[in-house]
Amino acid sequence: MTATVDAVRAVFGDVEVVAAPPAPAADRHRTGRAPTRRPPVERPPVERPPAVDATTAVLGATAVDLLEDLGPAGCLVRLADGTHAGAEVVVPAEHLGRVAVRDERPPPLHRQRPDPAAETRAEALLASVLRPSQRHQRAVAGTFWVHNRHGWYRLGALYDLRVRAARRPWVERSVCVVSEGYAQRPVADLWAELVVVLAADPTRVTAVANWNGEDRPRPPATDRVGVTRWLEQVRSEFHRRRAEGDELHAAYLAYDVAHRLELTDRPRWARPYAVRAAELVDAWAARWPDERHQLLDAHEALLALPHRLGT
Amino acid sequence: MGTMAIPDHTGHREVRWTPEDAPSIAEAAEAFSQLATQRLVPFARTGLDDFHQVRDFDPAVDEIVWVRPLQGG
Repeated sequence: MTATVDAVRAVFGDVEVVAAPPAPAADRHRTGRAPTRRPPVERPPVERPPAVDATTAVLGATAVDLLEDLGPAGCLVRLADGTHAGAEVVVPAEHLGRVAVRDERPPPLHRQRPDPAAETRAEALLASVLRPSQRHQRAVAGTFWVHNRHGWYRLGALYDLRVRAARRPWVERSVCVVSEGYAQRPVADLWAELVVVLAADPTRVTAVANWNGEDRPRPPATDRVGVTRWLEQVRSEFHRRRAEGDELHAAYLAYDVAHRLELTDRPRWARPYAVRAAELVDAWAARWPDERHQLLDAHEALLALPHRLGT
Repeated sequence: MGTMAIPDHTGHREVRWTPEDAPSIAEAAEAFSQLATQRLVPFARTGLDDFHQVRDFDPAVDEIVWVRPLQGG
């Protein structure tokens, strides 16, 4: 019984356990007699790993690392944050739609031995279609943002492109798009192709994409403690992005928070986040004078939010 | 000089032509036709990160980047 209580508390915290499960009645059914009462046997405590309920745990996290797709059994993931951060659990694939998924699956075999000459040529082509700020993002964070009239797109993570539609840029969704035969070519070629298509005809990308869930769950609308907890999780990701030099993504996180707080019963909390997002984008645009006009245009909605929220 | 970048396992190959060199233009036009039949899509560069799709080979274009058909992953 003590072990059961401990297991329950490992998952649900320090709660009071008020009822034990009913004793099995198998003996009564088999023999027609009441089960024999046996004296309790003292057993030595068994060393068990911390009990983590997979579904509860993954819903408590805002991000996971996808380690392996196990098919019908689900996916092996490592929780990136939350109470059980670092735990590796198997969860049903459909539950991954509720959290940010970072693909950590090992690369295809051919990518483990890339042809250096091919990689160099592909990198050169990619560099030729990127702006300086995008090359910088890719160098420091491994990913980069592309902006056009349809939205904001983050490229650089295979199977995990991010899309923020222009009509709702505060919602980030993970999508998967590749070009035919991508597995036999350097991955930089794929990014170059997507940059070109996004510049010319973004609907070609979104039309064929496999869409996954929204990046992170929304804050509870009326639960102040829940909102605070949600903010703590987002804040840690915000600081991590900034530490990695991913300033635009950090700005987008602050923007998302502002937009979502506006819909809770704490709308006054929203404006500081909106201001922070605008400051980061302003600073980013100032850092790249040749792209400043284009960057400010692309972030018009984000820059307008502090004014809309008032003082 | 004009250039076509064609993605392949070598990190893309290039086909070049010069407006004054008729054989190079004919060779590039032939490559353009063949790639189009393989469902690759050509985009002409018109600015630093400005591209638009083209239907026919135009030797006056400076740079064409071919893209393989996209699919959901």
